[in-house]
Formats: sequence, structure tokens, C-alpha cells
Amino acid sequence: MSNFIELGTTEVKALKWLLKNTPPKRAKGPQVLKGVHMNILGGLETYNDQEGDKAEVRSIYPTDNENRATLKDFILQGIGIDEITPGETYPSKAVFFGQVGSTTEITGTFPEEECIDYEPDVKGEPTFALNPKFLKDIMDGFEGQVEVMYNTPTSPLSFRGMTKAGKLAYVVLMPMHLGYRG
Amino acid sequence: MENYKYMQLDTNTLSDLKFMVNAASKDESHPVLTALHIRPDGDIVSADGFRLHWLHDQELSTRILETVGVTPDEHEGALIKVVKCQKTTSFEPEPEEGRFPDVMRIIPPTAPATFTINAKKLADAMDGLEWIASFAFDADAQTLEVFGTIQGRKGSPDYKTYALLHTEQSQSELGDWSPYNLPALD
Repeated sequence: MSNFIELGTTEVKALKWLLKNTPPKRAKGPQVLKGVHMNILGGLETYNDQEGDKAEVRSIYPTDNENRATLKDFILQGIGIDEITPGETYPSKAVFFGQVGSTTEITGTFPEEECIDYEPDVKGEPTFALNPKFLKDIMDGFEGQVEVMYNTPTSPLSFRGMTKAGKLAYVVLMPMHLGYRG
Repeated sequence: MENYKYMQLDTNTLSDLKFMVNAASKDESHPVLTALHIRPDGDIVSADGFRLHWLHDQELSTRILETVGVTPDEHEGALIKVVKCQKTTSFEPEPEEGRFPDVMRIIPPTAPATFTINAKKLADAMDGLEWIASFAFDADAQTLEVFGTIQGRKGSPDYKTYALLHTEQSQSELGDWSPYNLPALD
């Protein structure tokens, strides 16, 4: 028996972005990594690797959420939990999502493994700023590893790598395309 | 459509061509920048004043020149105008007189990369983010942190996003190739 919750387009977008960082459902490794961690600040987090120190992390936090339901609220509603326990940065339970066809299944079946106690060491000192769609367009042109050259004498940011057809390519950004430089 | 010639390209080469077309300007007040510059050495360059794309593919440049029917100048190469119209992109000889900007002066001198990162992972982390994202590179930890935003719509709040990606020490497998090392045009 499934309960359906209706998510807004923003929440679906946020959820998809988070879930892209979880291992496939049938991947080996701790089940807990296939879940989304929820913290008391309303943040949701995913990790894509079982080794905590090499894990790639994604998290989202709602802003200005007074009197508005957020993705966290929708999920709690969906699995029938009123609220997570205050005082825990990382609850010992994980919310699970599993891809079922074109729908996303949210279950309250919590794993036996403990969640990874991994807190990103956020530096918060931006090196550069850029339109993410613009950067995605550039990265979509490359294949494999891309070399990033930052703050060279002639350009604040440039990239070198191989294209999808295996050709060498170079991209140079002009200074006006960057928001600011550290 | 009878006057058009079609280029048949494999998927990856088509992707490369799109990559170059993306950087061509749409601003007709600077017609030279709406063109692909086929250099005499066969490299392809496009630039819209914000970004420069450079592709080292002589085979593709020859295909373009042959299809459009342009013989490149020995010193200047050729300008191929890009015409984007809804879902089609066509190429034609650039009718305007003009010379492609001297882009060599903005090509960085050969220098070791700051870091190396997987293109697909970085592109994937950008997917869905809006406005301006901030990036923080940590050389000691070899990580790239991305602070972004998913814009709230229809009563939803904005969501601040954070992504931590791992980078690698630059181990250039691409050799010394750089446009910086190429001879400037006359």
C-alpha cells in the first residue's frame, strides 16, 4: 500500500539533484548510503561513497521557509513521522528512496547500519563564481578528466581536455563572465 | 532546401561541432564573432566576447570548408558564418569583411593546471542549479566545493545547495599541446 505525496516542481528538482549522488539501488555497499540523511536544520544530505573521507556530498537547505512546507516536511509526511529528534546533527535513521519505474518510492524502512558521521569541512571562501548552466554547457563538451587552470596571467579561468570525439579542446573564459575572484 | 548540402557526422563529432557553435556569438552587430574561424593550421576557434572555444580537429575543419565551399586564405584561414534557426544550424561563407580577433593574447601561457576534475561529475552537479554558483577549491584536500541555488517556484522556498567534489592533482596526459604554443597568424 503506497501513500502518495504531491511535490512541487521545485521540490522534485531538489530531490532529483540530491538523489543523483546516491549509488544505484542494486549497488554493493552499505544500504545506508542509498538513503538521504535528514538533519534538524531541515537539511537533506546524500553521500556517494562508503569511504567517508572520499565521499562526495550533496546537501540542500530551504531558505526563508516560514509557514511553507519544505521537502523535509513532505518526506516526513510521506513516511508518517512527525519530527526528527532535536539535538542530533545527524539522526541515526535514514530516509530511503528507491527508484521504481518513473516514480520515487519513499519508505520508512531504516537500515541497521549506522549513518556515516561525516561532516563536510566547508571552507566557504569562494575561489570563483560562475553561472552553473554555463559551466555545465562547457563540461558537456568534454569527456573524462578536464584540467582547470585558475587565475593565469591572461584569463581567470580556463579548461583543457579531450572532447567526446577524442580531440583536444581548450576553453578560455573572459573576466567579465565571472562574478568575482577570491 | 535544395540548395543545402548536408554533412553526415558521427555522434561524437556532431557533439564537438555543437560545442564550437555554442561559443559563436548571436550578436549580428559583431558579425565576425558569429562565425567559426578555421585557422590556416586547421584548428577551429569560436568566441563571443565572453568565452573562447578552441578545437584541434583538422578533419572536421576540412569537412566544413568542403561542404560550405570555401578555400581558406593561406594566412588568415576562413570565416564560416553560423546561422542558427530554431532547430537547425547552417553554415555559410562569412559575407562581411573583417578579421577574426587576435585571440592569442588571451590564451594562457603553458602552465600546470590548478586541478583536474571529471567533466561528467562536474556537469552533473551543475544540473538544475540556477543564478550564480560559488566555487571553492581546496588544494590541500583536493576538493571543489560548490555553493548553489535551486530557485523556488509556485510558493516553494529557494533551496541552497552544497556539493563536495573530489579533484586530482594535475597529471597532464594531454602533453604540451596548447594554442599558446601555436604560431600566431601573420
